[in-house]
Amino acid sequence: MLGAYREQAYQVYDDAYRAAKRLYADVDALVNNPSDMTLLTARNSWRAAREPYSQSEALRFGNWFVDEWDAKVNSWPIDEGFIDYVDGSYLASPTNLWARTNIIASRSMRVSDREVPLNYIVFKQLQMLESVADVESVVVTGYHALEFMLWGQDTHGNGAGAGERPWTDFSLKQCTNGAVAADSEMPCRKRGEFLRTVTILLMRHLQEMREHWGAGEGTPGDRLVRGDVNTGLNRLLFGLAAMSTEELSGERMQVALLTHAPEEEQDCFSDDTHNSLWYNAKGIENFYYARYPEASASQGAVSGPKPSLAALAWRYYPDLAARLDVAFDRTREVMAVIRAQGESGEQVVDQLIAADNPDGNALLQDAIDRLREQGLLLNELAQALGLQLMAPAALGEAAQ
Amino acid sequence: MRTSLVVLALILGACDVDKQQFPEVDEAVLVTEALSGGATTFTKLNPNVSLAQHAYSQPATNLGTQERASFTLGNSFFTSPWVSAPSSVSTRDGLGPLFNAAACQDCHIRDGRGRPPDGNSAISSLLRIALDSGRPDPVYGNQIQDLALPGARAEAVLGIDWEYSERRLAGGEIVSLRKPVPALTNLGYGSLQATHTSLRIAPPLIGMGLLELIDENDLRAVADEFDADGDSISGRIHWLSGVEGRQVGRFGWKASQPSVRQQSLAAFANDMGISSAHFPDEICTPEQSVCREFPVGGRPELEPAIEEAVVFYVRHLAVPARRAVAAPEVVAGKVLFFELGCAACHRPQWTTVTSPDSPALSKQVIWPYTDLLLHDMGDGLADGVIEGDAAGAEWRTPPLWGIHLAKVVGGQGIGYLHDGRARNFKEAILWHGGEAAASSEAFAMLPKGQRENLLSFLKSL
Repeated sequence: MLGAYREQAYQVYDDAYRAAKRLYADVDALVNNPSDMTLLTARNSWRAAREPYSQSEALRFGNWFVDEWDAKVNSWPIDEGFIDYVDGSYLASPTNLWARTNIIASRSMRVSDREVPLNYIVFKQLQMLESVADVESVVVTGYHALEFMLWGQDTHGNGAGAGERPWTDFSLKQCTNGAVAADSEMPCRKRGEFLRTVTILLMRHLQEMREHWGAGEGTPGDRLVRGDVNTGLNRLLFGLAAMSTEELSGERMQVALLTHAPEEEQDCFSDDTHNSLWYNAKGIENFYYARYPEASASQGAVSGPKPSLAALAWRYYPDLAARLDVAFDRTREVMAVIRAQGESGEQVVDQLIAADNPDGNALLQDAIDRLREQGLLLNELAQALGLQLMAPAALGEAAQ
Repeated sequence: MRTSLVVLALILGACDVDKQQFPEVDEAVLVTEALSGGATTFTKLNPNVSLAQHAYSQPATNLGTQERASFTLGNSFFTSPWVSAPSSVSTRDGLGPLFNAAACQDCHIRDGRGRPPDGNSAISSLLRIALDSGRPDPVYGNQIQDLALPGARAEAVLGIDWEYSERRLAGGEIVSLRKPVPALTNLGYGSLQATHTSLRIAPPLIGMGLLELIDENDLRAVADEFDADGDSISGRIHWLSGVEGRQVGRFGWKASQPSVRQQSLAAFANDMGISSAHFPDEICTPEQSVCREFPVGGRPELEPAIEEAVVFYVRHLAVPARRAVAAPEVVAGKVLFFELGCAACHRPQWTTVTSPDSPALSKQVIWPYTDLLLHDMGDGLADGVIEGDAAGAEWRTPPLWGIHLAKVVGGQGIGYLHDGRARNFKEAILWHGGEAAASSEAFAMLPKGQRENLLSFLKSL
């Protein structure tokens, strides 16, 4: 079972890496030849890149090294005014001194009595910027930084509509900053550099994580498989339960619902949160059943019955297994409704969470309750197996 | 299990040094001592210390799945910035108009302690002010809020000058000490009448729920207000009177708050300008009309569900395990800690009472190294600010648990003691005066090697 988990993890990150590679090709096309069409293609490619990644998040909490790594690729919320222009509706942390830096428009910035040039966006600089600011909401790498660069700020609050960055924001010939013409081609050139650099960085991170689950000896994935079975089982179950009850239903859904805040919506620039929620939930389910039928790009997609937690539960605790099946079905049902409404444009997540939308609120609350139920049942399964569901140890498990 | 063996090795530390010159140790006892917060202790320290910067932000290890979800919810409201009212983010609006910070974690850096002002930012410390009588300044109140919403005037800009001195220790080592002299400029509301100013850094929040559950009777038993036992140490409970009758003060630099809830709500009110059921009013004094001129973010601004989540979160922040408890220099340092009298106030061990609201925190054997009592700490540390029943030279013994990770969590800029003046443990010890003067002096007179042992013990806590 642990071996199947490792293989599936490899597959998911392999897909995520390949999808990021396709995103790079489309981003490159956008930068070389900016137009409505190339911008739309790049945005769709970003959406596609999120699908495997969102499913991989079910691995985070059972694996300390994944959770630590995750900040490099998926940090949010972002004070996006650090990166580029924003309008009056921008809500940054009032104590983030860097919240309106705008590295795209600035030729330099002052860092501890030193003027740092910002004429070009390059790797080293991006990493330096995050560490110098030392503010969690200063994020210049990962999916959400790219999302902001592709969509721009969503100025519609809880209303319909996502970010509306025009393709001319990337044009060297008729460079704009949104609705207004830019003084020079510099911001547009730097946006292109930003997209390329951050996408390459993302690819590298995904490749690194894929290798952690690869066939090599001594990798974290290898240590999991060779290690103590109960420790491994505990990690699988803890990870899925924590993703269900803490991260997905808590941090991502309950907080957004309680605050009614569009900024608390994870994919807030693209309004694509209904998809990340759907694939997050799907990831949990897939790892419970050890199935990953969406393996589209990679060769040798996982198929046929694999040793899984579900099979284990059915073998030893059929009553509990049946309840878990029902719980996963119920979660999938309601998540499908949220996704369908988002895809059809009927309502997206920032509308669902609006204070004056009781039906939308109730729909989201239903999904939260079902995810919690599912998490508690996973906990019950752990107890039935004699495991004390505990956060995984960092010791000996940290990747290098 | 392999991992627990590794945990054990980390906790016990390297033991291949010649033990003869050091006391015998019972390793089973040491393992218990290493779990500073009993079963709640966070034991999964990353061996790569630079990656352990979130070691103060972990939930109590023995929380169940559902309780962890509550913790996560509270964490979100602890870390996210509050915004001005009215806003689409209605649950998180109500900041200011005067404030020191926009989020709890602005000051409690990664749930740890704050930094004294460094010339760029004074965000994680604040200035407490008072008249001679201890009463608040009629205009500025009892705290300077150095930030304000756009359109409002901040009360002042807080700067610090450092006053340096030197102390010579046995063997000739010279230690440079510094003391902050707060300087207020750009006063926004006229001249300051307060005669005492006291810089305060934000304290770390680990283990707060456990300290709340130390039995009041146990605290009474160790209090010795009139020094009946003649050891020159006369700790006393800071009794607070409130609507709920007489209560033991447990939290804050002068133990002025009785509970995690009240401490947290006071911070919401005073540091962020956010009203709550317990503190329904904005923090302006009658002389400051600014609070009446700005819209409020609901009455109260802190909604009850959010209050519950944040209080749950703060109560259940785990204390990280100790490190290297069996290392010979640590064991030797521990003996000195007792011999020098440090343990008379930094009392090592307590057992919590049962609380139906907090089963995970109940009946835990904990090692906070505090007695939660007020002690006269002498002129060097005195700030002259009378708080309730606490005098200008009195301070609550701060807990020492988890202190080995203070700089990993908060960065090199953090400091120890109420105003962050001490840059390391040695300086902190040397500032101890008053009831602790004899212990501090004894430390200074120790041979250097033994001083290092005592510091090693502190670095293991």
